[in-house]
Formats: sequence, C-alpha cells, structure tokens
Amino acid sequence: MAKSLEVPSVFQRAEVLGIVESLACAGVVAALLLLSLQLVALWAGLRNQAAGAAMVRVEDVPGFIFPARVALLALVALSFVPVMLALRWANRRALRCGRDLESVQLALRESHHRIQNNLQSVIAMLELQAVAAPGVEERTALRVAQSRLRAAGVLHEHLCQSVESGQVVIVRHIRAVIDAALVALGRAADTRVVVKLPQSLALAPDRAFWLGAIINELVTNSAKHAVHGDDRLAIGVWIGRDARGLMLKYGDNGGRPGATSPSPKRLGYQGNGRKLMGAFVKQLRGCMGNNFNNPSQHSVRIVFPN
Amino acid sequence: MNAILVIEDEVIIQLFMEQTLLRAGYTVDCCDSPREVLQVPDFNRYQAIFCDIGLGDREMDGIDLFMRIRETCARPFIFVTGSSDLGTARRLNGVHHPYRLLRKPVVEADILQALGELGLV
Repeated sequence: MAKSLEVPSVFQRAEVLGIVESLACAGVVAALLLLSLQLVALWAGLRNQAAGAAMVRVEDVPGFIFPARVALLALVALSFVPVMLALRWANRRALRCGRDLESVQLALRESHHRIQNNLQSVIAMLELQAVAAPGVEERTALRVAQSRLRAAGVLHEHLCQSVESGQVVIVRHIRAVIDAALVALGRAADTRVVVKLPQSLALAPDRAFWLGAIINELVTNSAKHAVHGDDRLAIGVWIGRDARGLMLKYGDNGGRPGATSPSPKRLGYQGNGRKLMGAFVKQLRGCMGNNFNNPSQHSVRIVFPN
Repeated sequence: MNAILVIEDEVIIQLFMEQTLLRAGYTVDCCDSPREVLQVPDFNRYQAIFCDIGLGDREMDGIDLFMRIRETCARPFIFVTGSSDLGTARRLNGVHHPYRLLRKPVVEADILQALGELGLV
C-alpha cells in the first residue's frame, strides 16, 4: 500500500523542525555568549592583577568560573553547530517536498477537472447526435454510450479522491457506480439495491476501476433487460473472501419463472456485452462463472485475486 | 413562468443543456460569461439557474457570480462542476439559498433529477 503523504503534514513537520532548529540556534548563541563573557572576565582579571602581582593563576581571576568549564562551554557551543546545520537541511528538504507535493496535487486536480469536462463534452456530442438519430436502436445505443462515459467519470472521481491513500474503499465505490448507472438509465427511483460486502474492503485504484466497470455493465444490463414496464427492478451485489481471492456475486430479479430458455439479451449470451465483460474480467485477472444457464434466475459470479 | 437560465461557457455543453431542458418543456436562456449574466434584468423570471462553476473568467467564477446576484435572485441555483475539490463545496457551506451541486459529467437524467429534487418537475 502506498504511504499517505499530505501537504499539511509535510508543512507541519517543517514547522516542528524549524522550532527545534531555532532552539538549537539559541543554544549556540547562549553558549557563545557565556564563553565570550568568561574570556572577557579572564582578560580583565589578568590585566588588573598584572599590575600588582607577579604570578597570576587563572582560578584567582574574579568572575572567572574555571578553565574546564570554559572548555566545556566551547564544546557545547560547537556541538550545537552540526545539529543546527542538520536541522536546517532537514527543514529545507521538508519545505521543498511540501511545495513539490502541493504542485503535484494542483496538477492532478487540474487534470481531473479537464478529464471530467472533456467527458462532459463527449456526452453532450453523443446526446446531440442521439436526438438527431433516426431510429430507436441508434438512440438507445448512443445513450448507453453516454451512460458508460458517465460511469467512467464517477470511477475517475473516486480514483482521484483515493490518490492520497493509494486504496479505494470498495463499498462506497460500488454504491456510487450503481447510483450513477441507475440515474443515467432513469431507474433510480424504482430500483431496490442491496450491497453486501466488508466495509473495510479496499483495492488498488486500477483494480477498483475494472471492478466498477464490471458492476456498471451488470447494472446497465439489468436496467435494460431484467424487468419490463412498471415492474420494480431489484439488484444485489455481494463480495466476499474466497480461497482464490475475492468473489463477486451479482443477481437481479430478471429471471423468468417457468421459462425454458434464457432471454437472449441477458448479459453473457451474445453481443458486445459479453465481449466487454470478458475484457473487464480479464483486466481484473479473474474468471467468470458460467451460471447463465438458469432461465428463471439471472446471476453472475466472478472470482478475482485480492 | 417556465424558463431556465443556463450559464455555461463551453458551447457544446451549453447546447446539450439547452436541448435537454427544451425537451423537458422549459424555455431556456443561455449566457456564456459572468459579464453577460450581470446584464440580465430580472433573475426571478426564471424557475432555476444552471451555473457552471469554472466559467473561464479570471476574476469571477460561478460561485462568485452567485454571491453577487443572490441578493436580487430568489430562484434556486444548480451548480455544475468538473472539479472534485472540496474547497468548492466548502465555499457553498452556510449559504442560505436553495442550491444543488452536480458533478460533471452529467447526463439528461441528472439534470431532470436535480430539478425534481428542487420540486421543479
């Protein structure tokens, strides 16, 4: 897991280093001041006594503490100097690091903003084309493409927010993807969603992206083909640990009781949906369980490494 | 009164919002800069105001514009932004004015949902 590094914490560290450096400076100045006072006292004492006495011992000089203490003070003053220099160096490095981090985060925010704006422009162009499209199928295809782009925008948003921690919290991520897909497909109000997965489950951003893309495809397929008319859609997502890593189970209420053959439009039977799902699962380095064959129940099972 | 004002500097996105709202039965006026918005004589003739936050104006973004006109405008604002910067949301905290914040990219359903949440559909 990438280590979290935040601009404020770097600057706080620099502030602490600055305070310690100031204390070290004060120590050097105090020691040098004391040393100077001692030398002045020694010089003045020797000068006064030289007039009246032939032999002068330094210990007898008034105001002079002791030669050993002078040496000690000099040593203390000198020992502060490398500490001070090391602290100054660390402080400057922390400040430089903070500034670099700040500019990287600024650039990330700006590029994120541009990506979202560009996605919006593409969606706008697709919608303008959809309005002018002659047939229902073309219009539907163009709107599904918009919904995929919107899902990509939601995924991107989540990934950007998780850059600092290096991990994406999956429960929030999946909820956001499902909500975005249902709103885009006009099924937000009449869909019951059940999501069951460990609150603590987190994945690296690239893996979270593909997992989100899979969920988006599954929800899109459910919203388009599971129920018809005024029937209420219900979808369930479950992720749990498996011997091979993690297992995603997805199901909806789109089964057809009593049916003898599965609906040809359900995911996994044919068309682009199958190809896309296959590609997304491959990106996740997982495998998809082949349990599409029950026409009265629609569920998908995907196992992927943690 | 079934009009909506769209403030958006990118022409394609402005056109998309205009078409979406026209299809939903609104009449739409569009502005592409804060300067143009400040010349609008009466904001209260609109049911709601869609406002992009990054308007490409160095001196005034969508929130600055909102702060400037909200005294004379009782209508709800629907901000649209491509930024996920928390600072944007923070600037709107404590503002006693009906508003919604939409994150780009938005599709037709998001626009209608925001209007629905404000009781305008």
